Amino acid sequence: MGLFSNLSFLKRSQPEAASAAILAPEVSVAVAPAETGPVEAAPAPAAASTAPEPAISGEARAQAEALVRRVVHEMPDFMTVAVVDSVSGRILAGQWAGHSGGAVEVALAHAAVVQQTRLAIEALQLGSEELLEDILITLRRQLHLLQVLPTQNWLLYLAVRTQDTNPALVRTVLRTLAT
Amino acid sequence: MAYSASTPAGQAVQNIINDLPGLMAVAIVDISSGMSLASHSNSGINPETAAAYNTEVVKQKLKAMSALKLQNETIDDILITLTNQLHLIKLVADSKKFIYLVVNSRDTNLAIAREVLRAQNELLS
Repeated sequence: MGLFSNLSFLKRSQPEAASAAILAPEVSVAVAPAETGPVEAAPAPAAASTAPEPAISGEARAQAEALVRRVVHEMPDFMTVAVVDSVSGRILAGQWAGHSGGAVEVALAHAAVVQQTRLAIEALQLGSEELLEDILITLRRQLHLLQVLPTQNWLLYLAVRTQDTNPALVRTVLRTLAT
Repeated sequence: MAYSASTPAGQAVQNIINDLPGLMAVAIVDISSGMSLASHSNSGINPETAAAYNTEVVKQKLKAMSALKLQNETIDDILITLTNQLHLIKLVADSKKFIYLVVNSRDTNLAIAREVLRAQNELLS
């Protein structure tokens, strides 16, 4: 069994196609479904396994945008706040104030972190009562929190500078907003 | 017990067990192979399985960091919070190894777990 058996979206997506999406603060990201982006010239073999994803409803997007606004309000020093579909890696809403990578690529990569963690939890057979709540990554100068939201496989991604906050505060705030 | 206290990795595992006798599992993992250099489990958690899968979690985060184009940044640790468990991945030795620790969140919090793992940094470098 491959470690990446559930990560088919990584093979399908072409993050560099959209890596120009560096957005100024206060701009809500509304990334269009994948079919509007440049796609590979040759159709992939066995393309039948990648059925087109359903469009994100306006209601879902509004809900995601509201959540982003609440996080920004609580964490005004944020670098990035985004709501991402943890299965497809698609961005539902986000504000990208302080990093240089492409929004779509970053969202996909973090969805993959969550997927890989889920695979690890599954492989360890911890029992059905042990569910993933969040993943906190401490870098030398930044904190990245991936908070699993209770509905719809959504993932809240927050990046902040270590100097502006602490892990306990970040987790408390996001946990409160996520429920 | 899958370790010999005569190796640095085995000694680190022994020290962590001494500090956290209630731990569920611990392993010192080589990132290039995904295999554990020393490990111990007090629970149903298989440290070899955990080592292999969590190595991929670390690699995915490294990919995410390259997507972010972060320069001069390194991962200190990755904390995975489950309903009743904390899984902590602490990178050591220039990110060539990590210490993997599973504790029950009722017994141990992040600050305690980090403190215990940080103390082993020098031994493993």
